Amino acid sequence: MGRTSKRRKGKRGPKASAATAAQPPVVAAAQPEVPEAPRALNEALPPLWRRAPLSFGLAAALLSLQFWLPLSYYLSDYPWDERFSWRMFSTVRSLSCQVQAWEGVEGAGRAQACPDGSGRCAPLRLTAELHMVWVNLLKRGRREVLRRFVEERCAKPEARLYVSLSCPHPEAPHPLLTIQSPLDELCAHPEALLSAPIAELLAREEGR
Amino acid sequence: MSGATPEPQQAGLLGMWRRYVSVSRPASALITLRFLFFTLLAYDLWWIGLSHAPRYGAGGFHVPHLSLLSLSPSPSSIGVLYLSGGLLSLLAALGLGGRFTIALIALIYNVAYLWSQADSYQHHYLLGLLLLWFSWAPLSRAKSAPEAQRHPGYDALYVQIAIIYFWTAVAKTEPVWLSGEVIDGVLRDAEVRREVLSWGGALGLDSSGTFKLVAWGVMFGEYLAPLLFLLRPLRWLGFLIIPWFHISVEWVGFEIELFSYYMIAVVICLLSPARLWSPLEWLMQRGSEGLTWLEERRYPGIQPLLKEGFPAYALIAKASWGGLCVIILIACARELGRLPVEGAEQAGLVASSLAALCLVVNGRSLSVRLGLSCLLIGSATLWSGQQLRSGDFGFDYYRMWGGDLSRRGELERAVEVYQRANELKPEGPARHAALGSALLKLGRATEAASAYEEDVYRWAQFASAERESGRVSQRTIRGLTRAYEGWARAYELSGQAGAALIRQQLAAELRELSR
Repeated sequence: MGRTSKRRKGKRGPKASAATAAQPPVVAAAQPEVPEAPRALNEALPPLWRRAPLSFGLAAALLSLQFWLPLSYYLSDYPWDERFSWRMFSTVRSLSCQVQAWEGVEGAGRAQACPDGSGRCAPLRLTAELHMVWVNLLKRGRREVLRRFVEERCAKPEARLYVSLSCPHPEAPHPLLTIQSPLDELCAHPEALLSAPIAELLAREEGR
Repeated sequence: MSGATPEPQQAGLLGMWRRYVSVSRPASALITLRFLFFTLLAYDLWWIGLSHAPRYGAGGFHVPHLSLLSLSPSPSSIGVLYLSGGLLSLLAALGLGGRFTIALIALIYNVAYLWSQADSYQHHYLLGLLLLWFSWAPLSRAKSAPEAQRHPGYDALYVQIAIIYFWTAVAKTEPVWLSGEVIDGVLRDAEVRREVLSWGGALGLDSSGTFKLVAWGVMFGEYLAPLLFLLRPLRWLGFLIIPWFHISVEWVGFEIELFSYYMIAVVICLLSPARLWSPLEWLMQRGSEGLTWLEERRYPGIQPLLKEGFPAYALIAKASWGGLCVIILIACARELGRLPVEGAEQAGLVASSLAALCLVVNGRSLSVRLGLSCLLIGSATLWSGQQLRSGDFGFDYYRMWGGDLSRRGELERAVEVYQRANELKPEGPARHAALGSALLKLGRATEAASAYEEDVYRWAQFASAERESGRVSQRTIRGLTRAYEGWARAYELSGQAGAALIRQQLAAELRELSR
């Protein structure tokens, strides 16, 4: 800190002192010529902004972002992802989604009929596949986590994957809404992933 | 505020901002905030954050907050970030390295947070933002305004906090929250619940009415908080009210790590009336003068020599302070390198190198102050290292990691991690049974038998210690039973039926005893 301020003083000091000693009132004349319109704009700005426009611009952008990010949560149609929206201890946080997954298998064993009835499937124990923290995030309806999970499982050749994700409506009595239907085989039909019309589902429940 | 220079009256919005909002804080309040905030941060990163490192990149699964950070982190890379961030926080707490250090901490912290959604705590996001503001607003004594200081960064900091309180209030302006349902759900501690209900009862409210009242109170409080932060004439009121909100959050027992402590420190340092800081201001001034006196007379008896042109002596003195700092940073690197976490050695080296960089790039001159600060940082690091190594920190770190690996079927790695956990817990049951179980699944029955044997020995020791102090607990009997069962299974799989039968009989007797 000390060194910085010394350096700054060093840069400004001699010039400033020389200027003030020789011609005190003509500080403005020493400044570079500014065209009329920008000069008017410059004078209209508060003095602090004129001193460090970049810092102030960044600060204003960061503060604006703090308004925009939470606002975008309220404008979006997906109430379960509350990141960056300052919704600590919210109603949504106290609710939990239900998640299940099935993988297509050959032969019998633990196999049962796949959710769409098209073949044999085994239920996946998610805690045996992912770290607990990701399972908990799936239970909070985190879409990116589901996308990544599907992407990873479907990277295997011949993979077949079904996922069911249902989240409670934020409003009482919190009916479960199907975010991801278990009837879609996601490796063959990746377009079916998270394609449910959430806004419609929410509106329908609100209308009841 | 004491020492504040009279401001020129300005008209318009800017004038109103300066009169009613703009911040001027005593330097002692800012320095106290710096000390409290960064000491908490160092503790947070080393004692809490570091213990979560094994979850990063587990099983190669990774989802970042920012898609830019798609490269998967690992326990080692997160360890490097947290250990470096912690050491730099100690530097920042004592004002070493100035805003360069704080900017570096802000970078490290925000990268660590945004790197993975495995960290979804909203208050970590808040800390990341506060660090950005602290990188701009100086938390030190300005030479131009030694007592009360102004900086647009302080205004921005207050606006930032006001925005957060505002949005938390908006989140609670909805029927479910206001019905008290959420409060009813989160108040789990029986004693706290009874206490809250008794307050409601005193007001003639039933449980539903009490929870509703609390919910409405929280919402109104959170709408009020931004005004108390923003409006200068109301700040003293905020100082009296807001800390209680965070104290009650701690009392209720919500699991939000150190969030309440950070906020209490911020509220007290930013909203308290300036006159409360006068005694500390006086003390700091005297302390500073004392150190200056010491620095000016650091070569007692040789002043004449210096005057007569013997500058080499001053150089030697400066080199000594510099040397002391270098030795302390090497000791810090060594201490952090010995921590029972993944990648500790590299982390210690990186952390100390970054600390040295901060001192060189933007540090103080080689002086008594720097030497004393380095001594304090070294002591704090050595103490923390000692505590982290001697307690259950390392055991918990590897125990939980082993549990995850075992659940996900990474058994070879789980065995290594459990072995490390057991090394760090030379007494008590540790994780020998979990190690035995992983070895059994891998078909290494002989090694599993040894692990279970050790487990039986540990539980038996535990049981005799309990017997001496009264009676053996059900938990111990169950632990011992499971250990014998595992041991029997291991013998069975290694083809030693006789030995297995004896262990099964012992397990059966213990099961009988526990009934």
